[in-house]
Amino acid sequence: MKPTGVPVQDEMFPEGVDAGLMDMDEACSSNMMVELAASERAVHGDFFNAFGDLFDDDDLS
Amino acid sequence: MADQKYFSPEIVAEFLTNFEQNELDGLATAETYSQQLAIYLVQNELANAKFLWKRIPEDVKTATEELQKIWTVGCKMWLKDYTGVYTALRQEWSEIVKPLMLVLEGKIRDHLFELVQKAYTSIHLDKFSLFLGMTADSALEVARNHNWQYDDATKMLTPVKRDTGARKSSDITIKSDKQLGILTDYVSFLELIEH
Amino acid sequence: MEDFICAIKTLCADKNNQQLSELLNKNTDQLLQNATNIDQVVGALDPEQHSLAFLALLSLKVTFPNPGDFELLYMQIQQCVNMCPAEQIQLLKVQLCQLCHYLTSQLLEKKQPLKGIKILAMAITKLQTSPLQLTSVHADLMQLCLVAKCFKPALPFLEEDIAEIIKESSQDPPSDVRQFLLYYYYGGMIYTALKNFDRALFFYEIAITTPASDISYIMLNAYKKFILVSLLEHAKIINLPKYTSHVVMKYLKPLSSPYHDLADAYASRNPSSVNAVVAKNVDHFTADTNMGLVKQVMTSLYKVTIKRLTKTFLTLSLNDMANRVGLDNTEEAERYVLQMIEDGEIYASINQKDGMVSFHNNPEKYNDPRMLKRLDDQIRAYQSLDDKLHSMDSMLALNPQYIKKTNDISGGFDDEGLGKMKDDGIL
Repeated sequence: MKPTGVPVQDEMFPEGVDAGLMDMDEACSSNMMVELAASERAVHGDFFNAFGDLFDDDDLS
Repeated sequence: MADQKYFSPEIVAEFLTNFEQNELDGLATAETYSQQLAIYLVQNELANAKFLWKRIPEDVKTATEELQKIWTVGCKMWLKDYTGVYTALRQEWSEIVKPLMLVLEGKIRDHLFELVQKAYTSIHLDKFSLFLGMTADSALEVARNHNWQYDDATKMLTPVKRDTGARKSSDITIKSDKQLGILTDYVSFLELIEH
Repeated sequence: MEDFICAIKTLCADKNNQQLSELLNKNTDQLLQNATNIDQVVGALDPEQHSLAFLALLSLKVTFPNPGDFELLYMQIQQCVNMCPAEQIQLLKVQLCQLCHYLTSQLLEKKQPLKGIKILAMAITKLQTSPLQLTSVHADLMQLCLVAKCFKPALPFLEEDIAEIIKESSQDPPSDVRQFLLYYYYGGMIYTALKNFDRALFFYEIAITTPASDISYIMLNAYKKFILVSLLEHAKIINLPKYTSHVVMKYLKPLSSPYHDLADAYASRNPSSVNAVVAKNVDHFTADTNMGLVKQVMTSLYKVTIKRLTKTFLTLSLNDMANRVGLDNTEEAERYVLQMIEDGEIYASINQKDGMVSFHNNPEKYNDPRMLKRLDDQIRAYQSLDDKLHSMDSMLALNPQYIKKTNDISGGFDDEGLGKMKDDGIL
């Protein structure tokens, strides 16, 4: 058995620093696209947003 | 004033950095919170003061009456309650925040004097004395020292405007050779774009 | 166990990373199967000398259902981030990011967000080879700062204009998108809380204009705040750039209809219609935790109206002003005018004797060294932006993916980048 958290060799030591970089444009054109499987209608529904109201100028207590 | 000199802007900023780092290290105490809050007010960083107040633990707030009093000053500043701020400042401050609160009071008074000078072509003496947090007599003396005219019958003061542009620029000077260098930079940059 | 630790130390000293990796992977079944064993090994290692093993073992530990005492783990992560040299961390970016994500979620659960801020800030600095790089830890740091209500430590990172993204993991691009959107959404919130509305708009805009084919709730929330902050800063909804995805207009707009209603009422400059829209949608705004911003928008309407009066009149009585703006009395009007003079929003002076306000032009003459310095700073900023754009353009021109795409479209490689824009007279 191989625990999923253990890095396999390739992942653990990528070839160089640059291997993990992509520029913004590449990012936008491919990987960074907000994409969904056909079955879903919206993503990120569970993102953390429970900060309360930080912008209430009358809230000085 | 010795205190004022001791609390130069650089030293105050250095203190603040230390308090902020301490807080992140989990080492903040009621005393450091008090001073950190007071410094935010001195530096007019009101949003930072407000959020510091919100993150100070409840038990520290209830156990330290002075913290609440400092924040009352902060509230008056946040609400731009120019006259209420002096009442809030008139407290028996502990030795650790007293010098800061004195600096703060001086800064607020200077700022409001300048604001009145800028914003009013005539102002009632009573209103002016509220802005300075002084008795009418002392406020009148301040006005007279600045050559403002006073009409006894209407109790109206006529502020004398200052040339704001000339005053602020005095701290930055650019020598002409440096200016020439700047222009050379621009031209070579533009040439680069052309080609 | 002793032999195992010894072997790790030797391999670290020899910088034999490949064998080290093999050794660790081989032992995950027995020696490294629980937190106690890992703690024993980690306790014997020096994070500075044996950083790769130290980091890899911790990243393994946080995947366990029971990673043991949190205080110990916190100290181990702190040691790791503070003491492992940056060049070693760069080799195990994925693992360090994992540790940071784990730490963030644990501290949030334990309601101790402040405790993670320094560690994450240090982690980001060590992951980066340039401050212009975005990591997936950025969003974690912003989240902790927001929950802790402590924003100053976030600013040095937010002030950099990101030009690159450090990819965390090749298999999991959706998490990159998520962290990217969160960074810009959270960053926008921090700037909004500090009332740097201009910069906040920039952050929300990046979140909204990220290419998308479906709805992201992060984008939706960014869009709602974008509308409110836009009203505060520009008194109207500013236009989004042309490259904004179709999905934004198609889905986000109808999902934000109370906000658009508010903007429409605001455009009428009539306080009572704005109040009516707010009253009708107060539950919606409150549920979005945007009521504070909405209230700021309501107050700003008076100021916008006063600003407009300065363009029409040379002098006006305070009484007249109160009526035109919809304020209760002359004292209110005087208070608003004074505040706006203080904040540099208008140039005016109040005459208490006659109860009049006179409006002036901006006294700035643009003729002093201070202005020259400002101009010079701006020009330099644009010059460095231009340099950056050029280098990104040439990098893009060499990108195989890009070359393939342009070949497919035009049948031959043609420079469609800056050169084309220059030809078209855009530059």
